[in-house]
Amino acid sequence: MATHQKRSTTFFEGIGFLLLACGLCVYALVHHMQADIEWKQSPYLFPLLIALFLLPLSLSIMRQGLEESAHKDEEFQGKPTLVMILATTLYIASMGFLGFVASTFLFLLCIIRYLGEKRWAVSIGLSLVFPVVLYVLFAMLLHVMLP
Amino acid sequence: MADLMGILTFALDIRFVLLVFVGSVAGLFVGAIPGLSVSMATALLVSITYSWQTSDALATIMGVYVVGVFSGALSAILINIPGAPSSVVTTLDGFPMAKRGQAYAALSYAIVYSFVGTIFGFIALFLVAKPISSLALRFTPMDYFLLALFGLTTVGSLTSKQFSKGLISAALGLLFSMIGIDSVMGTARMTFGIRNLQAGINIVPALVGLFGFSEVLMSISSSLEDGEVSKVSKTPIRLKELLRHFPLSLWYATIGVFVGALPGAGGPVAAFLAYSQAKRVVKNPSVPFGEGAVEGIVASETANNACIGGAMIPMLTLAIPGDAVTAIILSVFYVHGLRPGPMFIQTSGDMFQAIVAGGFVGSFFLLLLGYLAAPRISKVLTIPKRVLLPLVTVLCVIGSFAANNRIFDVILMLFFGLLGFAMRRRSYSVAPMTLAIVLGGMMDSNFRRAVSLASSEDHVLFALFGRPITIILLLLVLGTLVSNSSVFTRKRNHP
Repeated sequence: MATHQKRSTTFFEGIGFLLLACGLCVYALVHHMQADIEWKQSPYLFPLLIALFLLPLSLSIMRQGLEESAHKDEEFQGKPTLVMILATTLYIASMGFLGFVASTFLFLLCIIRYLGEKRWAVSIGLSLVFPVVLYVLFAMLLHVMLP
Repeated sequence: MADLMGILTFALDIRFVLLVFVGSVAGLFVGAIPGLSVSMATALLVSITYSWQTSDALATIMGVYVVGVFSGALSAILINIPGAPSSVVTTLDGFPMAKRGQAYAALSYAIVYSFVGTIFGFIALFLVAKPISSLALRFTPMDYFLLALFGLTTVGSLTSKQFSKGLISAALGLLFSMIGIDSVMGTARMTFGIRNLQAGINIVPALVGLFGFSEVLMSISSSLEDGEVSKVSKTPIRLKELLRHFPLSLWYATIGVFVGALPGAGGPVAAFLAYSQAKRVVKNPSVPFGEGAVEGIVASETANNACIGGAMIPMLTLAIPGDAVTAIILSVFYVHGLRPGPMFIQTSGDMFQAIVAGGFVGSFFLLLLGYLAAPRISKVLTIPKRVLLPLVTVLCVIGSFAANNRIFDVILMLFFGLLGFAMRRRSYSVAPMTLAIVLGGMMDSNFRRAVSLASSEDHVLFALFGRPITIILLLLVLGTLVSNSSVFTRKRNHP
């Protein structure tokens, strides 16, 4: 029975970079033609060079991917990482209507609890004190605007 | 002489010294706590010091830089986790010493020889910067382009496990630096109709994302467990014993300065090279290397701190940063309207003096804080990651917002954080990308200027590459590319 070896992620990275290089080539050439100027002054000369530089590199990555077999990442905590990313995105999005102090308080409280801090006093205390200290330090003393 | 007086004036200015002290205290914690890094702190500082006087900003940043690089050794010795990448080698002998109950001795060696390395590095900067600036005045636009390209290829080869991955990281950085209004023709490039991108990618949110938020995600994705801290019991060491390694430390410091001056190499490479030298030179170490030899700590700590002065040399004289932190310091100059390069010492001599003075003053605070605070810092090292990482995230958000007061920059920080995280998970170093983002605009304008100038000559190729400096730089770039290509590395690995 023929064994079916799984391609390593590196190979697909190489394909991604190859597509990026091709896309960039097309972008630079099309926009250069539309701009109707000489290459030596063209703003698309350097992006084209970068694309040409990326092409052999992406092929090299693809070749490396073909040589190595697929393996699983060791020690990768996927769920907490994803939660952190989502929580940060929500935090940034909420700052516009909740303001810095309130959104930071909520973000810190939720994420500190999620990451495993069991003591409510520490969680609430830190979540409350940290944004207030930052507000006083940055906005009032250093005159740095806060979101 | 005037420079020396200028340095002395800064060093005696109470406000300046106080700001270096503030930076040093921040550096002590930032460097020592695993999960926080000097690059991250400097990137955050750029946004905070945005509206400050340039000398004040530089004083604080130099304090963070000098003491931060040293204090990575604290966690390396006490919990076997290097606080900074340049202290990785220190763990090899530092932690075994701590396990044997000699943590205080290990810390003392780290403090004294970090101090020696820093002072040596800044003396080298002071002595070498002017001659290099004079040489750089003869550089043509093509020389600048090739020099920056050499920097990117070197950083690509030294910071990534695979050369091609390092180069891809640099190419992506160059690509990001192309976004925005083109400085030569004034055309919007790669903005895809997004108005906020017309001003280009702001370096501060990019750096905060690549070094700050990606570090948070890396820590969470690997493990939330914290290390165990070794006890520090004060056991005095005789000064004569401590200074026995001074002559050899000068050799390690020289290695550190050279490696630091090499664009992109930085502290980890310097510490590793000095450590291998120590293993070769010291025939009879106190105990075998790797089992708690003070000679190992001396080599690693002298070299990584000497790198600081070394990394400043190409940054100030050629506008080519030596490592990630100097890339960030370069952006401080740009933010404050200064242009590092061959004319920098002539046109902004006072800022050169401020940097050297900040380095010297910072190194004395390194000694002071090292002896007074370092043995007591062990409690801080145990701040649990579950508390520390969310706080760092909030700082990243503030840092990226503060530079331009735009939420768009916070979104950029998030984007670069995710990109940096993905790259680091897949063994793509973010250092080449950082350098490329900083250098890309300069490379683009110099390349086009060189091509434009050469096109009016009869022999275009000769006009582009005919000068001796240009030929040397071209050979350096080609040499780096060829020597790191897979054909050569395979031959080296399988002779």
